[in-house]
Amino acid sequence: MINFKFILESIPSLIGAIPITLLMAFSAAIIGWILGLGIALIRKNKVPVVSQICAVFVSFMRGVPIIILLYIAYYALPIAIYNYGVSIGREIDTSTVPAVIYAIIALVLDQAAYSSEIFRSALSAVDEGQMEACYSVGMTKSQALMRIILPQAMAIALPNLGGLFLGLVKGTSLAYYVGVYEITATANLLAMPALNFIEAYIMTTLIYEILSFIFNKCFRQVENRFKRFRATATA
Amino acid sequence: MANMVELKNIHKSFGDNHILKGVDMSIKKGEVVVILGPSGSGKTTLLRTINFLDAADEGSVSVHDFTVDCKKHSKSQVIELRRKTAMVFQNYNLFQNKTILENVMEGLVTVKKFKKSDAEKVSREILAKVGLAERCDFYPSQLSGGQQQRAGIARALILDPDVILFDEPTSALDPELVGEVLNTIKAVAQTGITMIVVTHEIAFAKEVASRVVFMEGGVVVEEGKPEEILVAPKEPRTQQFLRRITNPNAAEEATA
Repeated sequence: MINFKFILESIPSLIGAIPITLLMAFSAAIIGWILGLGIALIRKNKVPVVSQICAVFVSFMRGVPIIILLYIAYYALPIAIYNYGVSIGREIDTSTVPAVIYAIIALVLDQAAYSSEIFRSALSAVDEGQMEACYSVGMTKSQALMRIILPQAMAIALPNLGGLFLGLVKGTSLAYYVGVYEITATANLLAMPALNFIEAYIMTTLIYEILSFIFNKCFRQVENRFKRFRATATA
Repeated sequence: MANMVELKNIHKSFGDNHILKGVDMSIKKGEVVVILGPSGSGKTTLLRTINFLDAADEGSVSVHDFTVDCKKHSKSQVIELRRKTAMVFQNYNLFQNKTILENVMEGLVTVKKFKKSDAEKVSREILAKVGLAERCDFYPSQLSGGQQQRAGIARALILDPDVILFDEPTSALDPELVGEVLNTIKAVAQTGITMIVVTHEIAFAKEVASRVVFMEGGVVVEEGKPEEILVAPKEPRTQQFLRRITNPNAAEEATA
């Protein structure tokens, strides 16, 4: 039978774990998407060398499972940093760095790669005539990008970014494997003593569903704001 | 009088396709030059080399005594040249994320560094002139093609350019909207601004042009006053083109 007492008792701890999930999701999205936009612009403008490096990075990152990225960030990165410290004659203590930082690093890389493809296709989808019109009135390329091209590209990118973000929120559950006590890890921990796994996972599912629902609504709102210029009503 | 626009030996290729084969052109202040020619003759490309939307491979472009070498030019030279010109596009190319008013203000605010309030005032005036006073706060997607093109003309006019380039301004319009746009362009022409117009509207050319240039195969075949070129062209290719465009059926019979 389902243990409702356990469910009730576990609610505060699970809710208490939401902030760490959101911390990972938001920091990975904000940093990762800025990087992703940068990569997209570099690749779109075919900046020599850097553009090729970005292409390799994106292709590599999209081929690696997130869990492996997390393991690399959590286990390999501290060793690499330590060894680098030794090579410059300094002992860097990485043991005090919380696990969540490594998780965020891994998620940032993942988001950068995936969002860059979304931004790239969105930038390509903006009509070339828009850039020409900017040039024709004497704007510089950066003025054109900031004022005309990016706002239009964002409107195109937002639905996909929304999907990417929902995936990211759920993806943070993998940080459990490197010892971050987010929602999934907390549920597991609570379930273990009395083997209340079914109850714990029902609750976890519910929480992720609610989060997804809320974020979906938020993205729709932002999307509509960005798309207001696409109104179809004719004067 | 000094030439407002001067093109010297313009060559342009896209890949192996040699589009412009050495075009020279001098246009005086206040002239309205209409460029005619069959599709693929390079007239649109020529127009786009003037503001470097397509940089020519060879030759030089001067606008109001500012000369840019097409082979070696810096970014700042190109921007300077573009600021002396303005363009009206076939597909209007209004900034989709801006209202009609913002479209017209954009160049004033970002390029000419007008104060927003000043820019808005003059923009509303010019939009009233092209008959869009009521449409200032609409987005381009909410307007008809003719209204969009008139907004495009306002956006070009407001910059007070030395020359306005019209790239087939009525080709994308529904037939019943062509008239309103042509009338707007006629009104612009009467203000004495220098204009270069690529179009297929022969009647319009007759009425507005101070000079007609006929291009084919990437070179200027013939040029002169509209009554000379459009009524009694000397070159057989011009004659053939005009016959085809004024009477499509006759041309079909001739080739059959």
